[in-house]
Amino acid sequence: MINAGIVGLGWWGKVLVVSVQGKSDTIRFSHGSTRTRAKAEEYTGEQGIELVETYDELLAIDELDAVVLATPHSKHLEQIQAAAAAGKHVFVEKPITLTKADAEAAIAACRDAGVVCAVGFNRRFHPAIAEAKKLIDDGTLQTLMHVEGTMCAPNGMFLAADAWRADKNETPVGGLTPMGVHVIDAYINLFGEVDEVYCQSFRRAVPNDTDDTSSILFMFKNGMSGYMANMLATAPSFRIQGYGLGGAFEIRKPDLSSFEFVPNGDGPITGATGENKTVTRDFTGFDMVNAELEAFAAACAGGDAYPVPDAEVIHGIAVLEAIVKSADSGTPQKVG
Amino acid sequence: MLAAGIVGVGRWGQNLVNASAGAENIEFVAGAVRHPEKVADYAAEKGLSLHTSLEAMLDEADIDAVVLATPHSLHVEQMLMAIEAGKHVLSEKPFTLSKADAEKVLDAADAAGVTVVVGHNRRFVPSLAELRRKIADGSFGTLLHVEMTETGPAAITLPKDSWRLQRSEWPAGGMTPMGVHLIDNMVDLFGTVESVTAQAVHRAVEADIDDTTSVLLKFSSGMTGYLAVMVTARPDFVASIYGRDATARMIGRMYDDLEFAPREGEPEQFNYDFGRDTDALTAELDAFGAAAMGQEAYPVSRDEIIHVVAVLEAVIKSAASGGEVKVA
Repeated sequence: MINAGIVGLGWWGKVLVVSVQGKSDTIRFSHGSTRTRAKAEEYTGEQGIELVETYDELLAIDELDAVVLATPHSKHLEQIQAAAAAGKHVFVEKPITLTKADAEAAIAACRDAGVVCAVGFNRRFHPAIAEAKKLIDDGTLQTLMHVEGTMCAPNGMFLAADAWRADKNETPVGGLTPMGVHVIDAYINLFGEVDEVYCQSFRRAVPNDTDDTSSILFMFKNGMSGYMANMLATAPSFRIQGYGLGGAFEIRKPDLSSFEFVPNGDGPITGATGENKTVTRDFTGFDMVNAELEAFAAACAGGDAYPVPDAEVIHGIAVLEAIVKSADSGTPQKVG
Repeated sequence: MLAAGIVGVGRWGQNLVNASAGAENIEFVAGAVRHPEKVADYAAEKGLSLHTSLEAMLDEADIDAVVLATPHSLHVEQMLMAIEAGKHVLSEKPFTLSKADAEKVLDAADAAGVTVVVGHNRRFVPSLAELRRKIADGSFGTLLHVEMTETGPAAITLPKDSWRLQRSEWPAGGMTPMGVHLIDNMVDLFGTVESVTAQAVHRAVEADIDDTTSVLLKFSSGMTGYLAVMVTARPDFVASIYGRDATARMIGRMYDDLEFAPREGEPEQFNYDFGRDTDALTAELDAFGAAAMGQEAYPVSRDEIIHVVAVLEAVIKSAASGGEVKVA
């Protein structure tokens, strides 16, 4: 059993705790620290979590094996370096950092200290994504043509003006850091590295200063093209549709529960839809957050490596950095 | 009732002639085709006199109007010839491949006092009429973004020597056969487009054309959009509209299924059985006939005809050069 400390007990920090506390045999939260202690006291009491005043105090607790960071993006690097220096394994919410150089520094600090550094790409663990990867790897999709992804939530409409997520320095390109990085991680997992991006990003409807409507074109190193959009001022939705010469898969619904693959079959030749061979799966009820924390716990205990390789984490941040640059400059950007 | 001659009696020309059976305002009486012997039986069945060229048809047949189902690159010359002969013209899309050409043709039509329009048949599908109503009454709230993707198998099913499978006729891949419809749908629903950024790639098709094209758009209204066309997949269509207060998703080749989902409350479902290549063409031919006879304006305005071509031209430019291109 891994003893973990939760850092940051806002909305997401609580989601992380609830996914394992009292349910998992491999990880539990024994301690926590958060910026505004009073807001979290009742909650931590219920969950049996002992609150300490500062992050440094938390890192000084011997019985803690790991820290789980649900804190603003800009704090991650420093917090990861401190945790590594204290010999604690780190689970950090995405994005790990906002620049490639910082991501490299954070991962190097953990590697040098011999601790695990895991990024919370919970959707990696989803069986719908695994299903898509299988179709690509076994050649069913044939030549990969194009991918489209859209992820939306209305969260931008309800942000307090002083919330860290309403600060453009923390959340450049609106929905990119809260949502888009998940889609980018899925793209890297499924289709490999990205060569170039172009982004347009605007504020249309939210009552704060963040962008709420962002759309991006991708060119992958393998030659296929892609698209992604994120919106923060409309109903929750998720869709990734991948097109190959052999057919198209679609993952849909905010919990990714709906999976469909429609083969072209002889479709491209005859115009037939191949619907008789359509594969549909319903993954309702899969708990992605529990899965990612248990995978982290396994890696900490010396079991299987956490399934998001460091190189892919770093590349994802390089893509993010290029997207932010493109939105600012209005020109296509090579991924660094 | 307008007496019309069809130019090009291939698959699409025959779709138009077949659809005219249900039309009240137009009747096909003649056809121009390079090899009349190939369609002699069809022409006899439909009561069309056959002519070996547009020029010959204009000389020999007693017609009020000409309908063009010919290669894109011939449209300008053929429209000008028909206008010169005092005929009304319905041209298949794309109307022209450049804004300058579109303006030249429409100026000539105005000078000659004839009606010249483009066959954006999908304008007539009922799901778009429903969306038009929802947008007009403010049901979406502030509009954020629209996405439309169409796939089709044309690059694989067409004969290898088809006129379509060359970069001059299909610049930026599926933009002229399919993408121009998506542009017209977007211009119809959301107004003018300010700029586009496009990428077109060659992935799998044998012919030397791009087969996968994706485009980001910025509208004058401030909303944004995305469209994609692929020519090596089964026929399919999906569109999503994102507003602050509601979203909509339209799927199916004929735009047959529409779901409108307000942020609060139950979604509304609309299902239509309306043939894009049959019912929509009948409606289009009737609208053309009504406009030519001075009864009712054609639903695609002069400005929209020109703007859709200008957007297409900008997409082609952007796909070639990379980066954002302002729509002229």
